[in-house]
Amino acid sequence: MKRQTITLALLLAFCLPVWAQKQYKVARPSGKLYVNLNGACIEGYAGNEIIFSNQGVPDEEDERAKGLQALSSSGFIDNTGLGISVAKSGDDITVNPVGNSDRSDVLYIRVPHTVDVVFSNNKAIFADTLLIKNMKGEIEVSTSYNDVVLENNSGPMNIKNLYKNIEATFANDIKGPVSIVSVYGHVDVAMPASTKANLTMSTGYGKLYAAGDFNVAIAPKALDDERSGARLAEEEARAKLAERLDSMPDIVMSAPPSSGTGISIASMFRGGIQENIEGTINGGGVDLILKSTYKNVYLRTN
Amino acid sequence: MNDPLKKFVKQHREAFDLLDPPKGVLLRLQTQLKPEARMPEPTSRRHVLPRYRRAAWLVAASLLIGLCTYLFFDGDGTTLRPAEPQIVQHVVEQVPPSDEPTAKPDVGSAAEAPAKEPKQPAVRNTMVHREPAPAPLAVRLADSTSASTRLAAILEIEQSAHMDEQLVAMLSQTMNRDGNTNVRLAALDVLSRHLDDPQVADLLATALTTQDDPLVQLGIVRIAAQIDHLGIEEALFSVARNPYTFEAVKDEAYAVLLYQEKL
Repeated sequence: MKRQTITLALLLAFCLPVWAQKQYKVARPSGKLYVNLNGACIEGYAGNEIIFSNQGVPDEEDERAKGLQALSSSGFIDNTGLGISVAKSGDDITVNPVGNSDRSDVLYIRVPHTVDVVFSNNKAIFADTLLIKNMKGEIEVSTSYNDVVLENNSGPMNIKNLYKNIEATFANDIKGPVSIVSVYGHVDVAMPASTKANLTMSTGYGKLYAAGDFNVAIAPKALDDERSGARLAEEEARAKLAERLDSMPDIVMSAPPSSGTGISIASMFRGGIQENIEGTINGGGVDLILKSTYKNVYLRTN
Repeated sequence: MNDPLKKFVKQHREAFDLLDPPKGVLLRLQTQLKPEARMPEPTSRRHVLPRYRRAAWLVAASLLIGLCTYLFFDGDGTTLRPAEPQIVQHVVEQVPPSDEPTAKPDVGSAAEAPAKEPKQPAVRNTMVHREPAPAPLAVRLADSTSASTRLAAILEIEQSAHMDEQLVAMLSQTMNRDGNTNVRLAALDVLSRHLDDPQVADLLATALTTQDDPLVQLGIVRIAAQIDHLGIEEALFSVARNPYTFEAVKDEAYAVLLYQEKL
């Protein structure tokens, strides 16, 4: 009897998260899925429905709100019970937040992996990490404060982040073009050593790193006749500036510039030389553009 | 055999066998034993009930597991029904029958455009080849449905290393108007390869003050450091003194002006 009671208790414990989970489903759109949330976990799967679920601990039900509808200054109406509005606009489906959401409440979105996904969040400062994985459709991300993690997506993709980092892991089936750009965050990309790519890496104030396994064939800049004039002028200006700086007393910085707060002119002159590399990996292939203005860019094998 | 009681019984066995049972007793016992022989043994009866009890628990547990599995994988039991189910119904009607992605402009075919002279050995191989005839470059550059298509078109222009007034105008429009920052930056990158063209320098000077994307503005300012152009100098001062300019752009503009000894 004791064993049976324990079994029943375990079963009930197993069922509790299931009961706590809320779901909302829509059929896959013929267009794109637009997600305008503070953060989300978007996962591709082989199915035909977009499944929104909230796996956090549910809030205590507000007795006073029973029978009432949540309103938001954004004009969107919560038609899912998950604090989001899911609406069809043309062939696309658009997801918008309704009111303020609990930050611990991560929204999971399971998407048919061939659907194109567009994520946009350029307003919310307190943003969650954006995770997108196992997608085979086109991905567009434009965000200011979300850390962006991309796992096992094929591309093509255009990722832009203003203040935070971008980390991406690719498998063998990369489809270009892939453009990943961050201003104040680092860009870290891992992909198989056998990937064939046309590579562009650049940073304004950071460093560029690549795994030796890639054997990046860097295109010599001397062959680029059209920019030679501008480059010569730049080199002359740099030489002049270096001469001028040598005659100045050393500038001691109390602390390095932090992201999002701008950068001092002193550090610009000392380290702000644009690093720009163009080359090929394994003879060339998909277009791969990796840029960070103030931080490092890493390209590693996985 | 040290038990005295057993010894006593053995020694006086005859004295205990004085009484005989009545004759009908054996017959009555036999008649009673016959129907009982058909019934299950009492020992087995004791085991039957607990086994059935356990089976009942197992059935209950199985039902519970089945219910949980159903809820876990389907969730209909706990799904919050939408206030407006029309959304779902409308979308269902438009679900394509197959799992294949919807038809969209093919960027990959752009790599096969015959008009492009192969100046460099590495050929840009961008997307999956699906459509036989590539759309014109201008059409792909104006394709609002896919940022990757537009980006691939710009990379194709970059690869061709060819530039004329029409392309400059198209790239300038993309740099200033495109909805995707990555595409704008790619257009700027292509234009920056032709800084010796006065038209490009003029366009960059104009774009610096009218640009609404700080990332592109930042890129233009960095390129401006390579050009000695009056219009760009004025634009840099304008950007640096504008209180609404993104902080990093402002810092960069001041740095370039200092770099060019214009401050």
